[in-house]
Amino acid sequence: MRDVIEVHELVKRYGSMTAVDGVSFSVAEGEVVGMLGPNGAGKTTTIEVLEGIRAPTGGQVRVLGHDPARGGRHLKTQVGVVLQSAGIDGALTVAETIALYAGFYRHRRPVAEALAEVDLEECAGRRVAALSGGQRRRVDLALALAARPRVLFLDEPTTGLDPAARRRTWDVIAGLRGQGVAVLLTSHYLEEVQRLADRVVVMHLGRLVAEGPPDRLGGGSELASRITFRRTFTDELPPGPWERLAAAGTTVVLATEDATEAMHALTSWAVDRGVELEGLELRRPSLEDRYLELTEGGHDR
Amino acid sequence: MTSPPADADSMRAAPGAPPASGTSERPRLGLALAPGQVRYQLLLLVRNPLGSFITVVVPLMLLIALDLVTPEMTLQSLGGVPVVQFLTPAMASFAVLNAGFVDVVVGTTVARDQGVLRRLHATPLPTWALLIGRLGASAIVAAGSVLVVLGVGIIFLHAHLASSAIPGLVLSTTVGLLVSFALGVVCSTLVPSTEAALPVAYGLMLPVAFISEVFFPAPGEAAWLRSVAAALPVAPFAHAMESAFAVPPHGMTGGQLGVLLAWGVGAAVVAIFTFRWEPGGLRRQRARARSSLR
Ligand SMILES: Nc1ncnc2c1ncn2[C@@H]1O[C@H](COP(=O)(O)OP(=O)(O)OP(=O)(O)O)[C@@H](O)[C@H]1O
Ligand SMILES: [Mg+2]
Repeated sequence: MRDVIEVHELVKRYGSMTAVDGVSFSVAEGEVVGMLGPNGAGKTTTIEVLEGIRAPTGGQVRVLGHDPARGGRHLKTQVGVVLQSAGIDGALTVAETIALYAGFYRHRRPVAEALAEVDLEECAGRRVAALSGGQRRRVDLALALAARPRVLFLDEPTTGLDPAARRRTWDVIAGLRGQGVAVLLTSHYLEEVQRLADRVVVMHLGRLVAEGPPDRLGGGSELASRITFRRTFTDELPPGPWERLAAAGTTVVLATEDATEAMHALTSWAVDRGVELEGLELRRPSLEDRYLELTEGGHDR
Repeated sequence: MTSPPADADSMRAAPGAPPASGTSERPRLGLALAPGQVRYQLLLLVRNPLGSFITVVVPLMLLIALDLVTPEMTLQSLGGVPVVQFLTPAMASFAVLNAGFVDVVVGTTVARDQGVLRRLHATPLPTWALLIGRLGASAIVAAGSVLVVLGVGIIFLHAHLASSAIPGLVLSTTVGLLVSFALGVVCSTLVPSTEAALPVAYGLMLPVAFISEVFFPAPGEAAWLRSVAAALPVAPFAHAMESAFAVPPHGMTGGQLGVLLAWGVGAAVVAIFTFRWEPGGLRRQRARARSSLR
């Protein structure tokens, strides 16, 4: 598959503050790439450079082979966006707003179809100002799709959506992927990224700290299972085939490559000592576990 | 084989496929987007009529009030004509300044501050098509206000307009609107925030209007002030409007047209190069530009 979004050593500074610090990745046709990272990691900055809204300080970016800052109307015609922060006129109705934006494109989506995609048929005649936050977010998404874009930049497209609307949005995005649209998506919902993304990039403090499929992210501890329980006893844990991870309160988290042996060692030790391992659980590490590991410390610059 | 409901859900018809590449790449003609922008701005106008209402009502009230306090006065400086002969075109020009300048500064700043321009900038809408939309709406408000002010002046206050003066009046209104609009767009780029828009717009426009004989004729004005006013864009416009009601009426002079065109063209060029889509004041913009050059 052809790469339609290419980012090479992207750097963006605001004054002396480096928001994006040498980030490289790409997105191919028909691929959904999820971008994760704590607040202030540089996700929006990266996406806005790709949208041509911000000029990069260094590095190269290409969207459909064009420099986004110079691609002009030709490029913008093929790109749909949901911005993290932007406005639409509250005085227009939902249908009028979608019609206005669809009118910018030669190959537009019919207004009724766009409304149906985001489940806003009932709100078609309502003023945008009278919509709830989640409904307004769905209008944003409808506007991004009005273009029948080949590339989609979605910056937290489901923030504020109720669970049903979020699932519906996932279906829409999955459908677009099936048609070869390249999607770059940011989200703070790990489940969303797990479900949608073919690949995940994790940003932290302006750098790309991991990249890979959502179920095998971050290398290193990728195969380690997690054993958790609450420590309601004072005895020291015996040595075993595990590594103890930092955890809050009385919770103990052990990472192990060899779950069977570790469980055996742990439970037989507990039985011998007569201690109870409360809430004992063995599970495969989730995307969330790996994400939190990767982005520990240094939040909110 | 039966599929569980979850599967049926995920198999729901996918949204329309993007057209084969090659066709989707061609943007719509920029010119074709302009009528939609005019319609959009008019819709906003109809939905928020208060702003344009003030544009009409304030000059109208001033016309009636100023005429009431000086009913019998005649104006030596205009060849002994009744004061309403001066006030009617003067208030019409004030209405044009409101519609073309003040409303544009405020409207553009609000749209920019709310991120509406930012969102539009992510689409293939060209800057000039957006501006044509705003200009269209301003022109309609300006034309409406001028008609109302002239109508009230002529019908109720007995101002006299010779039919031979009408083409000159139309030309003056048009030129005045275009110049005001271009200056309004430039001015909006200097305004840091929504709250500052109205004070900045009126703060610039009113003092110039005062020395430009928009509210009262000032035959005793100092010569230097008179020449300053004549070089600014308001006086040539207001005087051209007022001369349509003079006895005998005459049109815009070449000198007035020259000054207005110079301002208009200059402002249009500056507007094209300085137009901003991103919210925030000029200082923040500069800092941003500097950082992106580094
Ligand atoms: N216009 C700006 N001027 C100065 N600094 C900025 C500007 N925009 C963003 N920043 C800074 O750049 C850093 C990255 O911001 P960015 O918006 O890209 O983060 P993000 O990953 O999108 O965060 P979030 O998850 O909260 O949306 C932040 O520290 C932010 O304060
Ligand atoms: Mg962000």
